Amino acid sequence: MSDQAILALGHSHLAALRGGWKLLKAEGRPLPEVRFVFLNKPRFQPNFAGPGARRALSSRLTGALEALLAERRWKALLLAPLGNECLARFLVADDPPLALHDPSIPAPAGAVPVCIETLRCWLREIAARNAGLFLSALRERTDLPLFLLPPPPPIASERTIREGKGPLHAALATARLNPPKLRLAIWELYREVLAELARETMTTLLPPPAATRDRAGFLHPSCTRGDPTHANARYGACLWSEILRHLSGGHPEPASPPRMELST
Amino acid sequence: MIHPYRDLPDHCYWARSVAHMPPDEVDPMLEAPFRLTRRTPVLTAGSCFADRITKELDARGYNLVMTERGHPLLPRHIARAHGYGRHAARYGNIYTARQLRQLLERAMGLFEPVEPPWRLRNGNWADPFRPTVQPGGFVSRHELLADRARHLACVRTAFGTARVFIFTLGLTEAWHSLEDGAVFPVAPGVAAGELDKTRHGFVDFSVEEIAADLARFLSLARKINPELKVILTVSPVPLAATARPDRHVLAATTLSKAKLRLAAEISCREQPGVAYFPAYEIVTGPHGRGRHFTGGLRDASPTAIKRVMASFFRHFAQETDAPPPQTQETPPHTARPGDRRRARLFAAACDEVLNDETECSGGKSSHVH
Repeated sequence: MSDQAILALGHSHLAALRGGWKLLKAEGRPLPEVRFVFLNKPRFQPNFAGPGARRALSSRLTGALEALLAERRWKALLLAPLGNECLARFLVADDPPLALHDPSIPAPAGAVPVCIETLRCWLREIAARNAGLFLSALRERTDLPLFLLPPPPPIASERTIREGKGPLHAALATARLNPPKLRLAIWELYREVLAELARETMTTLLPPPAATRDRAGFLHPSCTRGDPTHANARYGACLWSEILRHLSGGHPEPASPPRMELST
Repeated sequence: MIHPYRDLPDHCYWARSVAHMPPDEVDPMLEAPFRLTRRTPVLTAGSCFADRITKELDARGYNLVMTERGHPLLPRHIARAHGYGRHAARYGNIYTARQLRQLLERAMGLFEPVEPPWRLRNGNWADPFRPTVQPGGFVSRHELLADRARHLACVRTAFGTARVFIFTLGLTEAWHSLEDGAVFPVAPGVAAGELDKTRHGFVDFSVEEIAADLARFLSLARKINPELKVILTVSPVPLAATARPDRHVLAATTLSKAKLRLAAEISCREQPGVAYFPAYEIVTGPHGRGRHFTGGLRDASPTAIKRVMASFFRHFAQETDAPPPQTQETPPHTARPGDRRRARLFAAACDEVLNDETECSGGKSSHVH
């Protein structure tokens, strides 16, 4: 393993990656040095300047990113950007409910269908702000290998979601949730949109390894963190297996789960 | 000396009502046979020019019928880019009277065209009867057909709800299916699909055909809604292109507009509850002195639109107009870099402009007429 370190940047979903790194380290796995930088910390605020469609990264943030990049010679960059918004927005059913023209996802009464490409267009706007701005800013400043981590897949179990802690807890206690398959379909679409962004910025998108998902594609129950949208350290550990495989020049394969006990 | 022109009103004389009038006061509309209030449910359709009328009505607080709405979660500019909120339902631009008649026949279950969905370059599907209404297309035939079924139900509801229908006649030239005569808003291959000369053909409707299509449409519409009144206009926007190589586009434009104007006149004369509003004359009359079209000589200028709408509200509005509320400019849709064709489709409020590649790639034209 090279002595060069990895710079991992991101927001709330970065916590799973940091937790995973600690777990693997505790198991004695050989790991590169990683600097975890949470961009929601005061040092990087505000992240954005300008409203709506003209939103851009603030000069404070870009200045801080430049300082980080110049700090030392990095081996690679990881970005786990904003994206929870997408999971949270579609958690609770709206009035009228949103639906897709998909016979495998029954639409509740009164639902207003949205075509996939319309939804994709909207998700592109969300992704362009939440991930695209960061990717572009980094790519403009470095040729280092850059990895993009999408938010984790949605949780299937309504019970897990309702019992989960976090800022959405009270709102979720009585709210009607969107059907799990609808949430999964929207997450898959968001991931496709992130893949487009990744291609445009010469970035490697790292989808969640198979071990982190159940048979239907939802976040595996062993990978939930105890809130409705975030994944845990086990999830992060599986991602590390994938990241390290990439860095060693290997092709992405389903990662074996870490050996440690399940952690939530 | 008595002669037949001696005692006519001023509007019968060119010098008194056009040549020597301030352009703002040239108003060829005389008396509307009926009027609208802000409570009157109004339905709009037609070529790109209908879009401008719809926006003005909306800005002034008129009761536009909207039966096919996008999900309220969708940002407004995305909903509009996908055809929601432009007209009552996501039918896109309706250029010909045949297309209008066909839409209602389909909505009433009287006609089901045989034309299969068209392929887009990205592998998705386009609805041949509204090929640009869904940028990026439909991801499956199932999605297309399900959305179409909902759309046609919304069209039927719209015609059942409206009290006044404003229709802007745009074109006489169209492409149609040789199998069942179904017309398309744009030629196969322009926005999607491929032209197959064994199945697709060109048609240039005659005055009689246009008038017959309007009559058929009206008889169907009044089966759903006997009280429906209709305001016909002719789009002043010239053809972007003619499909007839034996005809100059300017000559094709004047022929097309003449036929539409005549068909509108026949409808007004023969059908009760149909009025003609001379938007075409206001925009194209020589009193505009070259100020009624913008750079590409197709888009009606803001001055022209202002004069059209002033006349419209003067004659058709029952209430005193309040000043239009401030409208918020919606942010432009951000198309993906490198996807020029898709960006063009997003920008094209006017499908017909797609007939001219040069104009499409010009980039600066607003395509809003």
